Amino acid sequence: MKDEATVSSLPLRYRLEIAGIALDVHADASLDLQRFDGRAQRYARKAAASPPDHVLQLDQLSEQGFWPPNEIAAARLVDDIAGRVCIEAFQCRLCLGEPGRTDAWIGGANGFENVLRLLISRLVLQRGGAVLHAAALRCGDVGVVFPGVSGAGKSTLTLRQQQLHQVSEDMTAIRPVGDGWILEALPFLAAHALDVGPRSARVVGFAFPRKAPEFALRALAPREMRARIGRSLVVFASARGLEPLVLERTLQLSRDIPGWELELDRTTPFWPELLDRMHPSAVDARSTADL
Amino acid sequence: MELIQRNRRTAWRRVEDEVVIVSSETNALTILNETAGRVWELLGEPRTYEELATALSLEFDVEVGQARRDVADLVADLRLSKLIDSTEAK
Repeated sequence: MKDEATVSSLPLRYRLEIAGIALDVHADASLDLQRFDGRAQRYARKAAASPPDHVLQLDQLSEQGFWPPNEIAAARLVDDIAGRVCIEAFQCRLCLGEPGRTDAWIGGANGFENVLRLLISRLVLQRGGAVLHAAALRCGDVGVVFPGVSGAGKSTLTLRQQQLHQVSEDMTAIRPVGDGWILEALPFLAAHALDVGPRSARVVGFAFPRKAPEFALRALAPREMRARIGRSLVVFASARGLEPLVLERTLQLSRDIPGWELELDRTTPFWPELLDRMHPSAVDARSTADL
Repeated sequence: MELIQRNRRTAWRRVEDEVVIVSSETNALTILNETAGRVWELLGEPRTYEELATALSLEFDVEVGQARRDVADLVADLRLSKLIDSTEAK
């Protein structure tokens, strides 16, 4: 049985405004505060103590940066949960967009992370970026995004070339900076973000991995890219009202970032050739010998 | 008479000779070829099967009978993908 001090009841009804989005949501269960660090726990208790129908203005949190520190992100999402999500033993029902409508049902041990993922993917999309179901590797400041469904080979990429830095293994955010894009891990998703130094890099391309008997690398035409990028965006489950943004980002990414199909065999080192093809001037990153 | 129109929970754009559609109803992205994309464009307002078939027949120079079959197949696919809604004409 859980210590009562670590379990906080959430208000039954809540209204939340975040980044200009007002949401009415029901929160009808308990939140296990052991899931959070100390600062997030304080936020959670504060959220739990707020009266029903209280309106939280969270814009000030988003003003602290595109990627807030861990605890702020957690706190924000705790507030999000208070305002937007029903939690029943971490069976999370998202209520985004229209009050009273269920957009997604997420359960299992990773339910909380899934909620964060979907909420953040929505916010990232609104701020010009995207969250992709993708692994990401970097070498120096050069990074490659590896979108793919489970089983495509994302997780085994680093087993092949452990000198490379894995920025994330399952969820990657990318956003425009200057005239290019950078990739980043989602820092609060412990299961998906690895603590391996810098968590960002300049994106030089997408590589869509596929297990195959022989190594091959094939450039993808824009129309092939559109379909693949569209399938990789992690926002659909909370995309109500954001359909035009999803479409715009899909087209933008498929147009702006080159993509390759990467057929992975069991032995061929893929990184040098990948970099040669994607970004020939990235001499420093082409060799991993000095890492 | 059945009228067909786009599901409002979609966003779309013509890109080159394709139409790319995002649906938050099904959490999916759909890409239509030129002919299907033209039908999709016509569905900006409620249409009957016959209106769609006639338009396809004229614009793509196919027999009306073939156009009717193509429209029926396409509408079935679009309905399965929850990209369209139907109403009965008053």
